[in-house]
Amino acid sequence: MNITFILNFRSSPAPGKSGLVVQYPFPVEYYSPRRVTLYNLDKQQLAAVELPGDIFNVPVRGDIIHEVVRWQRAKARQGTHKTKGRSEVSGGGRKPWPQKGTGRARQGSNRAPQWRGGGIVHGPVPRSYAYALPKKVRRLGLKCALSAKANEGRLLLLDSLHPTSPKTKAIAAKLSHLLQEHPRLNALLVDSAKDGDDGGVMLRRAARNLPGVEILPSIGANVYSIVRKDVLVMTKPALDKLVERLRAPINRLGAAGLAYRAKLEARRQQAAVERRQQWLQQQQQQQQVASDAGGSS
Amino acid sequence: MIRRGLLNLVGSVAAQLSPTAGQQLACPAAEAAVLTSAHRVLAASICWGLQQPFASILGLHQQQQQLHTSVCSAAGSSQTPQHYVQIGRIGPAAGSRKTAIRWGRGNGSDRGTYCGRGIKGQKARKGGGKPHILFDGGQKQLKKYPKVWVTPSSPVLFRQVGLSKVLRWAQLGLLDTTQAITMKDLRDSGCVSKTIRWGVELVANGTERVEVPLHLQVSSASPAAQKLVQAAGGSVTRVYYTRLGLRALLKPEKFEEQGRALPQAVRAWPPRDNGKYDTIGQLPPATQLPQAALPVAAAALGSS
Repeated sequence: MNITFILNFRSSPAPGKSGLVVQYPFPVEYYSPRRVTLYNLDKQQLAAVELPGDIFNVPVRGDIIHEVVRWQRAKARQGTHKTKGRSEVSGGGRKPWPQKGTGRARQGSNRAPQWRGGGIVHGPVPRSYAYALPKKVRRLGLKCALSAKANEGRLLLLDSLHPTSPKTKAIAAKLSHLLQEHPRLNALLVDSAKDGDDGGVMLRRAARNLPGVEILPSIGANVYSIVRKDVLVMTKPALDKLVERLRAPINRLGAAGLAYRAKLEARRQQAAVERRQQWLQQQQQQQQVASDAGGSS
Repeated sequence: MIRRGLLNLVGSVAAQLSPTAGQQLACPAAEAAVLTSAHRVLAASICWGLQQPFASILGLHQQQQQLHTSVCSAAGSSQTPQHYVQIGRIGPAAGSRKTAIRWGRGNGSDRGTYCGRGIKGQKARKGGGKPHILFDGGQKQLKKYPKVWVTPSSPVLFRQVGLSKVLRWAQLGLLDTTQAITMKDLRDSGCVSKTIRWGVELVANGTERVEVPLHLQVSSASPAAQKLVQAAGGSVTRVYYTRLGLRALLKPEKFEEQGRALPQAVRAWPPRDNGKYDTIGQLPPATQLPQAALPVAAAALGSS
């Protein structure tokens, strides 16, 4: 048992108590590691791998997943919508008829909102829909999505997604064999990097035209893509990178802060080296003194 | 007759694949659910056929495997199981989202036409209403109320930091005590918020004793904090920076990006601020400690 998931256990609510955790028809031992088979692209079993429990076995909070998906979709909005108000509609500078004497209602501009062809009141304006969701919520959402896929048995772990040739036909055959139990062949393929060895350029070239298949590098793994697709197919290097990223502390300091911390660390090490040198010098001096005394006597 | 025939077919298929599934179908509720349409029955049988290999090949735990299969067959339909997390099934936590009131959208909502304002009058107008409840039109009042809190038009507000927090940061080794601690160091180490508009103010905040000598350069310091730091052999220098100077201190990389040189330090602070500052802040800041303080600081770093 390592410290990280003890802390996680204490901070999450008891599963099921709040009514927000997805209840499974089978018992789940939360935060314990889970075994999963490692396959190759031809669906041969290679080994058994343990998925860390603090990432792949957390209580699945449906509302957190909703929050993260809502945030993702909101910040993806273009927000380029606009209507013209009465000041922007062309014309409408002249008073249509005198204030008094005509018997008609008083009017100041023929582009006022009550007029046909007039401006729109409080219409849409170009804006950004992005907002800053707390980083801890984003992280928990990713863990919930991964745990959900693992609980449903829709997480497939491969050693590599690298195809032998960049032909779409070949990779389509391989994928349909891998996903033969799933009715829609809907999959998210996650490799370690866009130019990695376990997928990379060749995988993208081969599989990008397949409908229902999305390819992402490990850094691009996000809750919306994971939940949207039926199956999550991940390579082992991608899994390792993802686990490392999710276990690293959330960076609050920025580049300048990290540089300052690095400077402090360097200075501390320098001080340690100097102390060691001083101690060695002292030892040498003592030895010299001892040998002189021995020599003279 | 056709229905019974289909049911028999389904039953036989189910019995071949998994005996438990066949038994579960025998219950009346399941029968009723299945017999609503022939298509669903056929789809269900195909689904049962798929669920069996699905669970085993993906290597689920034995117990989970059996439970998973039995659950899928009990559902008896081609829909994905209820516990699957899907985009169409997720939603916000109950009570987390409050519906906004939409005024003026029809009388059926009880908030149409007059929008709860009644008919005419000062209170019905945009921006209408009195300045405050005791306002009586501006005639000579019976009682006058003093202005107890006046917000200045453009306040100079320093970002406050407690001495206890600075001490904690120094003890944890997150602050470099061998040199003078500037406002940039406080910000970079995370001791003070990243948003600093006018400067940083040091306050004692209940601290009773300081043991480590700290040499701080801040915009302002409470007398108690100054006394405590000096008693421990440190110093608090109140440095003056303009807005531009502070930006150059805290984010010198922004000037580098634009190819601008760091601005020169100003020559003097405004006369109204006489007595509030000790020195003009340098750019880049002067962080060398006075000679006497160096060995003590080095020892402190060595021990941390």
